[in-house]
Amino acid sequence: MSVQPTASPPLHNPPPLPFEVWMEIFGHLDFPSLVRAAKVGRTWSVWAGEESLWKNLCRQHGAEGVETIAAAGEHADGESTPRPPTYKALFAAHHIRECERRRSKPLWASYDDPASLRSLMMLNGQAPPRFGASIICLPPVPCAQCEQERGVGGAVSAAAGSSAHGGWFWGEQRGAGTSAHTSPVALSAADSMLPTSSLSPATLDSFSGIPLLRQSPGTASFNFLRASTHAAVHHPRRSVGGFSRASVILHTLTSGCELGVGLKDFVPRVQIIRAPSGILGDRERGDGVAGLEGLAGLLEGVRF
Amino acid sequence: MFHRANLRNNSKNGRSQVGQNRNSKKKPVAKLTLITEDNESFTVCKKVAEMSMFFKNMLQDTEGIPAPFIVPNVSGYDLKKIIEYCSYHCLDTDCPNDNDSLRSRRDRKIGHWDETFVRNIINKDGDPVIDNLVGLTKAAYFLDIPGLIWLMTKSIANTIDPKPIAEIREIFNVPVPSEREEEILQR
Repeated sequence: MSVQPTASPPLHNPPPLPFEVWMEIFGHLDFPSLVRAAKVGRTWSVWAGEESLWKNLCRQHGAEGVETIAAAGEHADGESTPRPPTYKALFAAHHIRECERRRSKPLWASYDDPASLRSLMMLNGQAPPRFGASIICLPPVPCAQCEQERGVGGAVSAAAGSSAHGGWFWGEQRGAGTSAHTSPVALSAADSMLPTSSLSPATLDSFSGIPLLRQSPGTASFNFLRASTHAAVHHPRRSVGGFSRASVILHTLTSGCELGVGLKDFVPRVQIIRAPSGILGDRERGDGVAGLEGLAGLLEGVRF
Repeated sequence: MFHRANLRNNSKNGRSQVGQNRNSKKKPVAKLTLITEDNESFTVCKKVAEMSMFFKNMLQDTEGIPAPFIVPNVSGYDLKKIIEYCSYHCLDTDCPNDNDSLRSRRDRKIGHWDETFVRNIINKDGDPVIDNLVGLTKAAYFLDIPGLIWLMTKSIANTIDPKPIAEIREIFNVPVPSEREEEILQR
């Protein structure tokens, strides 16, 4: 139609539709289209932000914690209880989790390869029982940072600006949600399944410049906003010591979490495994990073 | 069954469907004469009209067939398409026409007949497609036909789904936001 030069300037002039019809239309859109529709104009962004739409999306995709919002709505008595997160925030957390699951690349180890078997033992604390197959998949390396980061809404991924889905979306989310009610989704330390003694955000801050949002004590926790991928794995050695940079990178590689992507010497997994020793530098020796000849070499320096 | 096959034929030649519909009836049935805002008149049988909750309620309230009824807010083209849809679907039990069953089956696909129906709207003498879709949606909303509203909204959603933002703005005549506004929207 644009090829006709004689066409009058307003090519389209659809009659205005009532709000309910727009809700029906937006109800047929999926998540990416809905986000795109929100950028069309101011009215569209209000329409696309409608809670009922996000509620439906949550239901459709089976996002965790929907019933918690409903329950919180019943017991809401003004200022004393913290406001529950919006359905939009809930779906966003769910979406990030799904992306993570899809992105995660499990490391593989073989019983025939003594080096990788050693790394497996380092991760599990013991050699796993041998089944028929000689190849075993290493579980994602868990981390408390990741849990906390999920809780505060992907601050790391937004800061790193490296994700296709994370940056803009969470940026908007933080503006809309977090400032409106003070840190609605912060996890309290007492409630966390993980021993938070193992967590040292200061270490992370110092070498990466990633602004980790601190948890505020006393705020109620919404556990469903946590990344279940990482919390699910129990690691016997986790509570020993703090996190090193190598462990962060390893965590990023195995779990699909973006925690380590912002680190300046992060390289994709295939390269890091084949990289010559010393890519992480000798100055990291203090953190226990050793050579990187192979998978075992990478894991050697990791303190859990 | 005979009636249904007849309807199929009618919907193929489209235009004179309403008149033939009347002729194909063996015994006289309750008819309703509708006059649109641009003075086109249509005669439909009661069953077809009752697809619309608006007419259904009206017929219940008046306890009988009123004189030629003037339908405000609906153009002749829209009403023609609506009658086409209703006379096919009033015999179709597969297609739900109430909000609850439509809501519970969100991932329903558009049926074959419906697809052709929508495509015919699109092909109407080169006019901008979306305007007709939106106009028909508005008419369907006014006459309260849940099945048709579902079909139309789904079609509109399918139309805007793959399009870039600029094109959506053009189609729906949304003014391009100023730079400052755009900055806000991007966040």
